[in-house]
Amino acid sequence: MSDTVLHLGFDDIDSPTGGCTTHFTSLLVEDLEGFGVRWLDYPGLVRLNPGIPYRTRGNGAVVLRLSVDGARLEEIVDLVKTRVESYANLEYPNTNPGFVMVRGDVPERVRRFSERALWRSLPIELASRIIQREKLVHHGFGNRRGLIGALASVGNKLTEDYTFEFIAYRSPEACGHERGVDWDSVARMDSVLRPQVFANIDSSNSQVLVEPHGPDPVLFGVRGENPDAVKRGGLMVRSHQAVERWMIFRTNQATGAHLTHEMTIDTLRPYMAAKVRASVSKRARIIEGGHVIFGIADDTGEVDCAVYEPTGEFRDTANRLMVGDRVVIHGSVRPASRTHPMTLNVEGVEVVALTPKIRVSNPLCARCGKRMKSAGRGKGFKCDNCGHRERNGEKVRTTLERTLTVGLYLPPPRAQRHLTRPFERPEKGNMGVPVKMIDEWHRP
Amino acid sequence: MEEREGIPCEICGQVVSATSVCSMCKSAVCSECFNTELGICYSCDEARCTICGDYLSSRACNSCGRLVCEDHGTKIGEATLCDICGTDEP
Repeated sequence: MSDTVLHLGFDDIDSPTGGCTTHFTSLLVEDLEGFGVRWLDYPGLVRLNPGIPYRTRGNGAVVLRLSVDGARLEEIVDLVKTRVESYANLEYPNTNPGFVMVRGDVPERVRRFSERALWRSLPIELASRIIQREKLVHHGFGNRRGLIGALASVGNKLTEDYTFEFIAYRSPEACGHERGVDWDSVARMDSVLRPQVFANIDSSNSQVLVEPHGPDPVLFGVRGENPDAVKRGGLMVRSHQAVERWMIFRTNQATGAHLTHEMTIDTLRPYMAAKVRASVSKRARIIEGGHVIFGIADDTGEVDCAVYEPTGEFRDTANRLMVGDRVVIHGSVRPASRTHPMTLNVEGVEVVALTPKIRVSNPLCARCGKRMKSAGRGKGFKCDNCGHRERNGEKVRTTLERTLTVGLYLPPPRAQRHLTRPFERPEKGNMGVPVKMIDEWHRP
Repeated sequence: MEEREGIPCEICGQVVSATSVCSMCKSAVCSECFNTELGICYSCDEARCTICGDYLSSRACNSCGRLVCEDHGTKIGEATLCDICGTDEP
């Protein structure tokens, strides 16, 4: 039988106790090579709407694109199903793995679904409906929530902009113990390869960013603009725990792909990722926990914006905003609760125009230079020092310098979303799809 | 249920002759994305707090996996324990 092009999407294979969808993929890639597959692209790590709080923080799904003997499709489907069953912690009720397979061209309906999955909250019901109408081979476990990410990853070919990540994994036995990524090796790698690699160290506090902190099998990840750079970088990093395997992913991380829609306040919906162009309507106040809340308004309404404590110095930006400042807020919509209204969780502030900061004060005495006092309503000013009076004197308006300037403000790298386009990547760097893959993009 | 004509569904994107407005999130959605019985869209239906059903979820319980709102889940460090699992604690 002739070769068939396949797109295999996976999601929700991890759980709070461990596991990782990308690690699962690295194992599956090794298995699939036994089928004589021809890889058409690097594994795709597609980050979806990061504003959905009941998903894992990264909300990442993975897609494999390959060509294989069409006679072996059933074997592949069986393999994937078996692998998911043995890998995922299906005892945990919020682990609901999903797997979707598309043969040949990706249907337009699936492509549109993936676009929406970057910034909206989509129901399992919709994913199931599309899968049914397109007659896609699939398998959903538990409540089948993983079908959403699986379908969305298949539909996202990462043609607008993309980056790469070299992810090193430790053995399952090592999970739960300290990874021991060596700071010096990361710093050396960063100095040699930057700007081809990025987000390795947070310069504001020297924190290593390549090392995660959960019980998952990821040992470290090096992000960058091309596969050669991330591979070179990944092989330079040292750690106490051994690298059991590694793989390079093509991804939408650091592209800002979730923030492509500018919404008015009345069209914001729960969990939506969006930009909102508005004016500051309420000055920042600090609440319990060190979080900062301020208000914005446009012609359609008003909404609270929250800047959380872990974003550190980013809160200073919120504190320096004044009522009337024109801003574009980048954020995710936190649904209302019994104790607070719908709120925009801020992940970026574009200051578009600053309102003048005016200080109004009494005039200086023309005779002795001291600050005068009001002589009473409509009676001008008097000087307590020399007794001079100015019946027609007026208050003095002084324009003060703002400590904020027009431009984009982001949280420090340690508090940024995976999808946030960092300052190191101001422009779209990679368009289209790679025409050639490097020889060794995974081991084993 | 309010009905509006000729608006694209906010969930699936299909332009339909009539949409219904979700009583929880105010999205205008098509009939396929709307749970008529509950008067809410399927996004909200699937994301509602499994304990009270009145608010949308903000977290998943690390013990039982239930989706819960801010009132029915307690943050313990990075983890969340829902009210039901919290009550079960010795």
